[in-house]
Amino acid sequence: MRRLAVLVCFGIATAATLRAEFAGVIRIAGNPELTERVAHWSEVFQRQHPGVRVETHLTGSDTGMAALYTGRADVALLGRSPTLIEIQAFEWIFRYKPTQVEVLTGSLDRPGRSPALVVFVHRDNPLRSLTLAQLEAVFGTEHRLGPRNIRTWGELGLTGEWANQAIRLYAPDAMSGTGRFFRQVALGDSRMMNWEPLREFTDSEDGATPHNAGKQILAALAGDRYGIAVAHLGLANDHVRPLALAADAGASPVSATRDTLVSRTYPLTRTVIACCNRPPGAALDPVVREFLRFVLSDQGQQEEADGYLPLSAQDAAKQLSQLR
Amino acid sequence: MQNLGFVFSSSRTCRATAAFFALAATLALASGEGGDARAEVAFVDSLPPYVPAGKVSGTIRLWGHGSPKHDFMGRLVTAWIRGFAMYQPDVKFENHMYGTASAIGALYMGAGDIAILGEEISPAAATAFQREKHYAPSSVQIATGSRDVNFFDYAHMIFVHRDNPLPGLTLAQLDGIFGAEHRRGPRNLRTWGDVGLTGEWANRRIQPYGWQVDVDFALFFREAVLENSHRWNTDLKEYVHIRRPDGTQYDHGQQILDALARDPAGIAISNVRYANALVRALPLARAAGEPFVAPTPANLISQAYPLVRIIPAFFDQPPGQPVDPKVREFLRYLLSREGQQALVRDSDYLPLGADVIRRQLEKLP
Repeated sequence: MRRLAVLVCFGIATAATLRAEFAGVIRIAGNPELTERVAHWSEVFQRQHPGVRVETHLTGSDTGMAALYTGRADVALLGRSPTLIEIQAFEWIFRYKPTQVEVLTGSLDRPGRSPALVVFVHRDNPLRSLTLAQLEAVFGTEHRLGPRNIRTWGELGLTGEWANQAIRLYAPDAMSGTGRFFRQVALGDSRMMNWEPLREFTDSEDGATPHNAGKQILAALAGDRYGIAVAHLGLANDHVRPLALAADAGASPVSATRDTLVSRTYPLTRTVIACCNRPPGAALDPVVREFLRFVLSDQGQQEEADGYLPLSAQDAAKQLSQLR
Repeated sequence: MQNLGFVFSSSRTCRATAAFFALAATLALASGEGGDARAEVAFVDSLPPYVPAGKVSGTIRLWGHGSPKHDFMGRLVTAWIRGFAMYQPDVKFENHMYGTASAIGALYMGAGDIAILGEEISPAAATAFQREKHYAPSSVQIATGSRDVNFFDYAHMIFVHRDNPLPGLTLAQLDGIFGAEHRRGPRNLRTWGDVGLTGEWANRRIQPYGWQVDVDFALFFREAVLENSHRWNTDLKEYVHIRRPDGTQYDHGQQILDALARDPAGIAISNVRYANALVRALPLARAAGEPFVAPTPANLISQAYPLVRIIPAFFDQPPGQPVDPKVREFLRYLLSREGQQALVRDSDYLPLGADVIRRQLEKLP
């Protein structure tokens, strides 16, 4: 009888401890494009852990970081990497850097949802692929990956009427999140682009069609045979064709597809990042840890209608190992 | 005249040099500093004193200029708080000055009441505030950036090699030289002939030197000169601080002027603290036809020098609402005789000029 009583007490104590461990509020800030996803995660997570309440305040990646470093949020979900200034803002307060966990792959073709960047040419252009060195040489000025800049279609191997034509460029504003990503990944973090033949595009302010810079870019390319553009898939236009990208001259060119994004073999894939506050040597807050573990689990990584893609099993495992 | 950059020093004892440059002033260049800067700031003793517009109370959470390694404004902020307490003893302060990078975020997240930045607000911070609050942040200027003191928002100065005969430049010419979009003029300026030099200079290509273009110093130049274009001249050589083998820092501004000393065709953005005998600072004009203005303390305080920098204090004032009374009174104190005297005594900033102060006070009715 006494043993039973002890067992029952132990059982109650354990259950109480478990419930107490996962009781509390987790506050999530960040990119509003993740609203549906976060709502779904919260619903399932709160069902699994009834003692937990999820509060969300999704107004932007930038405002999300501010919520994190002012202690108003436990997790900031960003559709792009935190900037150096954002990391500094956090670090000068806490004296250590924010913890970054990759939680999703950006979409293949959804404007505003961290879509992979894709390089397009006019449909009349015979070119089918580029190496990363050629991409840098075309859009940049510092030719860090190759011996010189590329300014004409002939320098990319085209002949006949194409050979002497100057290449014209269409790309997102160099200072936008997308533009910064392009410069970081394709131009070795250069601050310079081949300005003269480049037209940059920003999302329209009117709000009628948010995140429409890509659409504007491809509309411009449709009217320019000698153009090359950086945009993303999902912007229907018969006059343009996406290029595959090869890591170098010896490698096979890779097209942007769901699978090449998830496997990260497509080089211009974007990532959704969760930033949180973990002092070095200390454990992450248990509720935050369990929430991120859930996000990285099969259930959390399940594909939904919002277009964000999962991490590969290996990448999810690697991120999980950060959370022990 | 050619060695303005060389002669400017922060020594306070060169009265002979001051006399010489008083003479130089008659040649249409502003008088050299060389001498006692205290004369230029003595006017603060005649500024209107602080008179409380009512008794206020509460806690002011201060965010802004500071860092884990350096105590930039600590002494000054302490002096301000102590001085203010004599008039408004019921106002308490919390010091959260962890750096400019977090200050505006603290405002729009409701974690701070006043953000005293170490420099002008960055476009990214202003955008984020607007996104969160749906209106712009409010601000008043509270100090003039120093002439040449590190960490005290020093003025941007334009240097050429001492062999270069150029008398001065307008902002439009600077835009044409350092930018690639020439928002202020009809075309890019790429040779010294494009800015009016002749003879052996006419066809020499201009080699610009500056700070890495996406860091704070360059963001100011972008706004002040390039009309916020991000298209910099691709010939620009960019510099960042580097660490020497002995552990000391080789400042970007120093590297820039050391490089310019070796390049007669060069033009550089830097500051006189880094100058050497082979370079000289140019006086600047806002527009063609206006006199060139040199970066003396007087011209910084009056804001006649086009690349003067200022220190702003930001606060959150929803449209149609009055400024929070305790915030209003503290800012009025900073803009008073007592506040500006503390600034001169306990920091290396320059005070604001009297008419600048009058304009700021109008924002705090």
